[in-house]
Amino acid sequence: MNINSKYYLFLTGIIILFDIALITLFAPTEIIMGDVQKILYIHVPNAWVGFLFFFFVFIASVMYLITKDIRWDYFGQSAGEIGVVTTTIMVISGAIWAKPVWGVWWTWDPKLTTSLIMWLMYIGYLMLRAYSSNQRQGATYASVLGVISFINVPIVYMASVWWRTVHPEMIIGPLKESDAGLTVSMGFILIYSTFAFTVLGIFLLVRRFQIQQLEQLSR
Amino acid sequence: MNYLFAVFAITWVVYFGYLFVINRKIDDVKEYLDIEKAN
Repeated sequence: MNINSKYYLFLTGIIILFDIALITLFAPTEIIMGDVQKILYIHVPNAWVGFLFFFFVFIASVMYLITKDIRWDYFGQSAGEIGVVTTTIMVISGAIWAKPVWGVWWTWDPKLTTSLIMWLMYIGYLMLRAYSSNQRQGATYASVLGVISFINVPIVYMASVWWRTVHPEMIIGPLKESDAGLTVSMGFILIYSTFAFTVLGIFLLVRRFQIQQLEQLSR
Repeated sequence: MNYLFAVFAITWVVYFGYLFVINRKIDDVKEYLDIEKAN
């Protein structure tokens, strides 16, 4: 790890520690759900980072198919991996939130089902590349899947608008349906938490991309 | 509160686990490159 990445890691750590402090010490406790509501500050930002990184995969896939520059493929693979990590956290944190609130860990609701499909599609995207014997061929097939998989991302986002769902309404972003009783401080912490996880995701992306570049040198 | 801490624990285990794997992988590739250079 060089000095720059150590500095970035330190900065990311401070941002994340401050986020944890905000969630545990300063976020107001919601009247009905209690502390369980605070899972929102982990669940929503990870969903956002997942969407963002899957968008990066889409861009990288399109660019690879146009230019055939292998660096786009490396970028797509790195972004896809981190997108899967954050989506895994989104799915698990959602299930843990659902148990005390809905009484079940999982239900086949449109939002949950499309999210699970999205997660599985991107795992498929990573597996396709990992098990391909020919690097260029694997990159091309994965890029096609990277473009197709992205079709599902806006469907996941819009699922609570398009279909009747038990999932809470969108409470943040340009298409938010309601504030759902979110106070100003709750809104601020949610936005800060989204920022913190985005910074962490970009840090991981830079590190992951470094591996690809080093592996390229070793070939 | 237990549910919230479970989410915290899983989140940080996943993130730090992933970061640990990435860092190990970078060190391994660098080590390999150093050996190659030495030869």
